[in-house]
Amino acid sequence: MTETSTRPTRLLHALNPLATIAGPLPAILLLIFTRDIATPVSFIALAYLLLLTGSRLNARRLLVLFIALPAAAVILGLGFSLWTDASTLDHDTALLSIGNYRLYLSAVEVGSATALRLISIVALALLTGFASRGPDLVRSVVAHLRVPYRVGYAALASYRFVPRFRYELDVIRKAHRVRGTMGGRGPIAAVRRTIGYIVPLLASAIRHAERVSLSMDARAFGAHPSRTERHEVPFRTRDTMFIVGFWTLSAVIITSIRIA
Amino acid sequence: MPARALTLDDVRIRHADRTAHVPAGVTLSVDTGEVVLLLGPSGCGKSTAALAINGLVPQSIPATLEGTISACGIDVSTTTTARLSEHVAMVFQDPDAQIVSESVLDEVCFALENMLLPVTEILSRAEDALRTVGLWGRREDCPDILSGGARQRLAIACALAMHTSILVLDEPTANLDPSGSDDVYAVLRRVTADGDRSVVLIEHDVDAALPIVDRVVILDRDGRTAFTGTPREVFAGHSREIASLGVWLPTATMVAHRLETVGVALDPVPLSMHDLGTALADVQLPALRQPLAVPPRGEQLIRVRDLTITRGDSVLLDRVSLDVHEGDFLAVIGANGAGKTTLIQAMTGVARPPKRHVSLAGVDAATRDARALAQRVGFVFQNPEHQFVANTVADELAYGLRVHGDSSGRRLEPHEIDDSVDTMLARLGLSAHRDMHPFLLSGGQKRRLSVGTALIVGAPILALDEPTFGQDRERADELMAMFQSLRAEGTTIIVVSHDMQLVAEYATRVVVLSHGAVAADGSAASILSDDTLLRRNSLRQPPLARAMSSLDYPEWNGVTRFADLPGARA
Amino acid sequence: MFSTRLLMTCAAIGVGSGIVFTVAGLVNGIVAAAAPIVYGLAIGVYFLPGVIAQSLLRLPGVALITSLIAGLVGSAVNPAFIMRYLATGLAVGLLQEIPFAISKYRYWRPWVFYVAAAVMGTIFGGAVFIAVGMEHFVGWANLVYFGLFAVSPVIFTWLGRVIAAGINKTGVARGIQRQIDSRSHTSTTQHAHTQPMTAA
Ligand SMILES: Nc1ncnc2c1ncn2[C@@H]1O[C@H](COP(=O)(O)OP(=O)(O)OP(=O)(O)O)[C@@H](O)[C@H]1O
Ligand SMILES: Nc1ncnc2c1ncn2[C@@H]1O[C@H](COP(=O)(O)OP(=O)(O)OP(=O)(O)O)[C@@H](O)[C@H]1O
Ligand SMILES: [Mg+2]
Ligand SMILES: [Mg+2]
Repeated sequence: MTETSTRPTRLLHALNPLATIAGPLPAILLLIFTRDIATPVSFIALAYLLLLTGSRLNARRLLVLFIALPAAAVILGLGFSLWTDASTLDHDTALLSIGNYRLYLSAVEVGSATALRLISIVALALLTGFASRGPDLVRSVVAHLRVPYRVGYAALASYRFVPRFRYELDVIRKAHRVRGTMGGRGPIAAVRRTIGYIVPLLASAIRHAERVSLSMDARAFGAHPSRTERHEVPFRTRDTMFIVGFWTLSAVIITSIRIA
Repeated sequence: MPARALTLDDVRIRHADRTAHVPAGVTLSVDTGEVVLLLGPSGCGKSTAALAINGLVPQSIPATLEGTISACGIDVSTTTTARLSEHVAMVFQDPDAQIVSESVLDEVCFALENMLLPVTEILSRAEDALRTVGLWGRREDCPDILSGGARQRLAIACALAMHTSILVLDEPTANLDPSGSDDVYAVLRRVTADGDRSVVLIEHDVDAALPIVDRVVILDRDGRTAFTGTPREVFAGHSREIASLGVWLPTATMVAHRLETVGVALDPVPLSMHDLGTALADVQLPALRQPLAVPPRGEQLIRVRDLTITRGDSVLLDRVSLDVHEGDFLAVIGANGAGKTTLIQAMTGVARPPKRHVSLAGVDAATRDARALAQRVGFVFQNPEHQFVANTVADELAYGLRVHGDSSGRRLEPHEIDDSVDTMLARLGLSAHRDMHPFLLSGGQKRRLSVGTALIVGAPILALDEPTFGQDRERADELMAMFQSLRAEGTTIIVVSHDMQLVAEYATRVVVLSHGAVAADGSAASILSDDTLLRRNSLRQPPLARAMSSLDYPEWNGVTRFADLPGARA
Repeated sequence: MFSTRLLMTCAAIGVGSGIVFTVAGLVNGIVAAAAPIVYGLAIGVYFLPGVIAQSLLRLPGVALITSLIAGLVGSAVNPAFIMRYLATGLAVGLLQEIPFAISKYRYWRPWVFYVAAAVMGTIFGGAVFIAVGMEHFVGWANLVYFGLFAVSPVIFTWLGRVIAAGINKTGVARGIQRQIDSRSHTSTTQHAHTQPMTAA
């Protein structure tokens, strides 16, 4: 949080997280209702353009962009194509036939459209995911959307629970190993075993939460309607410009595809 | 006379859903600049009383409170915790549960931000506080990478930055290795030296606390104030009564008690090691007891060879080799993070070690056969709550028998199970709680139940991670006596502990771990008398050994155990 | 107003079940790819945090906060997908508040949970229906596909209530729970009093 030295210069990082959500939001909502291929492809292109030029990339992110998402697109596309009910589609071109099953080009088109639609939504959502961290998002929501800071801070503090609870889950699993496990195999036994882990995990999590809350209360948490914020997450003119720009561009893309 | 900073007058607190008042009448007062040590048996309501000082009880924890508390002249019952936090700051036992932000500096600023101070004021106070505890250089770090002791100093810095006139500390060193605990006390000594802060300190380790304490308040089992006065008035005047309450006494006072039973009266009653040295110089000391013969070692039970465990880039264990024989009482010691928990879990198969490095009573500890494992090892985790699997105390004990049968693996009839459970309940002193949920027991009871679940299956090896953590003297003695008698019956015992006196009293063998490697492995006496070795590993000699090593009687210098002193345990 | 303890308890439930979330997210991905037709079965896992919080605490807003925090924390593992997790958390949390808001949060009997879960499942199934489109499946498969979206929240509601009952027995939530049925009580903010929770 104290990374003042490396001030981000890339576009997306310089924006308020709320702007990176509000910008693509209308496009995402519209995409849900589209059925063609061109619209999602255009938005995927737009998203990739912004992500590649506007965010700091590392190996993991490149992996998401160039391996994970394309792979997901192919797999989803294939899955939906295979499952698609082809009885109502045209049967001009069969790509594949096994026994009396035929995979038609039209089905592949429908399947790909669905897959691309889902991927385009994910890609647009990555604009936020690549550029801002959860804590900054929480701070912005508190600063600009009137969410009570107490709720926001509970969310921030909960980040610290993650490693601890993961460690505790590990200990609980070990404990159950050494106590021996009751009742055989199969899904029912598995569910019962999982509950056997999750109840002590949550119970000790709640205990821990209680202690943390005491320590927060003892430090004047909630004493005043607001608190001094040392980490400002400002909402600047450039944020407004980004949102308006994105909306305009979305409208242009969608109408031009409709017309063409 | 200095002004009263804090008074509690006949404070009685009843938690929601409870019938009894705990504490049932605390009376104490703290003057400006005074340091008061609050002692009492486990469960007598010390923490509850501390939480009432800034109104957390009953404002955040539902309870009914009778009697009056006033802090800096303010009636606590009519003021919110948030307002009171301008006058009272708190430090609790678990450093993890007091950290809410992702950097050391943010953490110190948290309270100040809540108090709506201007940013410049926040930063200057934070810097002061961090410098006082020696963490200014680490202000950018994430608290996760601090050691336990440093995290606890961070919690103290957070409290100091609030500039309150009252500071309340509830067992601030319970999770720390001896050197971390020393660091915390060094900070506390500096903080209390100015004499402008009033401190209420709750602490089991009386030896560590006494040097900075002005007055002592002792609560009885119900949480009524039993004794109050300067350390000398209280411990010299009432040491017998205090010991019978199950409260820890200063080590020097315990030695005096012991010598008194063989007719050596020390006057004045010593409270510190220094006092003890002086007092002993003036008397004719009786002969030491013959040390008990160490029982012969039985067959080899656990064999660890070249065990290396890595996680990511870090090496948790580094080529560890050691053997454990039947009847050993092995203690594993070392600094926080040295790898003790990792080792004890790997050598007992609780966390599967790499194959063919650990053999455990005839099987490879890497086995996936949980049943074979449970028949060989009973394991008690650092936090007993983690290992409870059933909804009542009785079911908890029966669970192992239902899953594994008796020690030879024979299925047990329900009435046989009931009989064993009843016997074990009686042995643990838990018969009255058989139908309670294990989570609702007190800390000491939970610990005993977890030991019981490990014992009832009759495993030949019993491994315990920090078995006396947070226990009062009576509970700790009770547990250790239990392990001692098990060992006499042939059970092999492995413990991890920061309590050096406990290690000295009971262990036959000690392994010192340092950064995942074995730094020393030998008899308890030889290791605990090597102060350089111990200090190098953030450890300290047990208090008794420290007192004895400075005496003028050469044959007494090597004494580390109460059991070797003449006389009987008081 | 929410006490800090209540907020942090919601956070704990959110994080605890969020850890389950992240595992489920992985499984979901695999399932979605391999056999899209049973995808709906896994979706109910997102209902878990809210159900546990509501069954245990019985207070307004807990489902929303818990779900959101579960989403936030779920995304900590893979920050790139934060919006996906948050949007799911927000949508599910809001849906879960509705049935109890109708009774002004004074009536928490089990049947409400189940009826609500079935209704929410149908709404959820409907939304997925629009997003994915029904053109993909042959008649019976449509029924299975969207049916599972409706059934799965009910299954996970049951699971969540079993877990909440387990936690309730440990007594850790004492002091912040409300009653199961406080309609007839005239005294308004009657905190606490552990009513033994009826089994799921
Ligand atoms: N939140 C709570 N709800 C109900 N009972 C409680 C609660 N907290 C503590 N108690 C009970 O109040 C009693 C006093 O507990 P407290 O923690 O104050 O003891 P203590 O003197 O600090 O003990 P220790 O030395 O073990 O820390 C115990 O019997 C405990 O079970
Ligand atoms: N799963 C893990 N991944 C990475 N590091 C770990 C893991 N588990 C433990 N460690 C690290 O390994 C080291 C040894 O841990 P371990 O718990 O064995 O120490 P310990 O001697 O028991 O300490 P303590 O006295 O605090 O209980 C620590 O530095 C810890 O942070
Ligand atoms: Mg306590
Ligand atoms: Mg450990």
